[in-house]
Amino acid sequence: MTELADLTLVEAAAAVRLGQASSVELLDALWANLKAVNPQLNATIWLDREGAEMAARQADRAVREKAWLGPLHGVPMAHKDMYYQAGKLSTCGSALRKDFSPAITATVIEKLAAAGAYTFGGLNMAEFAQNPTGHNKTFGDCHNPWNLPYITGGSSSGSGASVAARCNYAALGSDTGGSIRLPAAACGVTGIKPTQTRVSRYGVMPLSFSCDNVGPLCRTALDCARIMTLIAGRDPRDSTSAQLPVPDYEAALDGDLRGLRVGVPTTYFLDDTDAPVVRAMEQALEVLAARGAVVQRITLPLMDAISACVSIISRVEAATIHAQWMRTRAADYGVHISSRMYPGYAIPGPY
Amino acid sequence: MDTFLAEIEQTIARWHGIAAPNDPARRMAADLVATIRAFEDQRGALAFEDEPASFEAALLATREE
Repeated sequence: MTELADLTLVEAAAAVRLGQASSVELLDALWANLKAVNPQLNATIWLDREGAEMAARQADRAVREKAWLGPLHGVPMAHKDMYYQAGKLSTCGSALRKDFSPAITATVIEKLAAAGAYTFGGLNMAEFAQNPTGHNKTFGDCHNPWNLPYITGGSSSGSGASVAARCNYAALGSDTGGSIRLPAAACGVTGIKPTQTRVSRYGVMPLSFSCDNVGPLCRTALDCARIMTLIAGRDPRDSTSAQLPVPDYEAALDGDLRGLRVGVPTTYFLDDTDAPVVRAMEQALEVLAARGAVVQRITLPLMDAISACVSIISRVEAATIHAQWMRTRAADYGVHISSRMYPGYAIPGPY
Repeated sequence: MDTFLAEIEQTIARWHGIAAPNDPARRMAADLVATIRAFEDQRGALAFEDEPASFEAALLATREE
C-alpha cells in the first residue's frame, strides 16, 4: 500500500485516471506514512480524514462514471496552513489564529479543486510565515525527515517535510524572502518561487504585498510544472495578478536546454558559502550545460541598494498589517516575530 | 537608555500606539542605526526621475556584456 505513496504527483494522477489505483487507496497510502512518521516530523497542524475520505470516494465514483474532472483528479494534497478554504481551519501557524475559519476560499485552492485535487489537512509553518527555520512555538517545531534534529527550513516547513517524507504528493508553500526555496533545499524536494504576480494571492494570508508569492513544493520538476500550469494566470479577484497568458509548463520540460542561458551570480549569493554547497551547485550546472544550456557567470548590479531596501520592505509591510494585534495582543506572537516587526513602525514613509 | 532608542520608542508609541513587546524588539529597534547607515550609503545613487529606469538600465547593461 505505501508504495502508492512513493508515486510522484503526475504518476498518482495517472494511476487514478487509468484505474490502476483508487483515490481512496492513494489517501490510505499517504495516511499510513503519516501515521508512521508524523509524530516525529510534526509536519501537520490539522488533519481531516473524514472529509478527505468523502472527497476520495466521490472522486472514485466520478472515475467510474467517466466524469473526470482534470489533471489532478483524485489526488489528495495538503498545503501550508495559510490557504483559506471556506469553513475550514486556517491557523496561519499562529496562536492568534488558532481557531480561525475563513469565509472565503483561495483562488489557487479552487483551481486545484477544479482540476480534481482535494485537501486532507493543513501543514505546519512558521508563525505568519515569518521565519526561515521551521520553528513554531504554538504548534511545535517541524523536523527534517532526513535528520530529525535538523531544521526543515521555513517558512513552508510542513510543505517541505511532508512531501519529502512521502506523506503528501505536493504542497503549496509561499515565498516572501525564501520560504519555498529554503525548505525545498533543506528537505531535498523541488520547489518553485514563481515570478512575482504570476499566481493569484486571493485568499492567501498576506505577509508583504510587495514580495509575497504562491508556489508549489513537489517531488519533481514535472510535478511543479503541472501545478504551475493549473494555478498561474490572471485572477480578477487579485488586481496584482499578471495579465500574461499561461504557457504549458509541462510541455516545455522535454530535457532539451539548447538556447537557454542560465545566469550564475559570482557575488553576494555565494559569499561565505560552504564548499559542499558550491560543489553541488557546480555539479548541477554541469548537468544543465550537458543538456545544452549556456552557463553565464554574471555580477549582479545594485545588490547593495537591493539589500538596503529588502531589509525594510517586508518588515514594514508586515508591521502595517499586524498593527492592531501588536497593540492589543503582542504577547501572543513569537518573540522573534514581534521583535522583528517592531522597528518597522519607526521607518519613515519616504523609505 | 540610549537616546536614539528612546526616540524610536517614543515615535512608535506616538504614531502607532504600540509599545516595545520585549527586549529583543528594543535591540532590533536600536539596530535601525545600521539600516539608516545602509540608506545613507545609497544617497545620491538615485536621481529624481531615475527610479525604476536606472534599474532597467543596469539590467540592460548586464545583458549586453
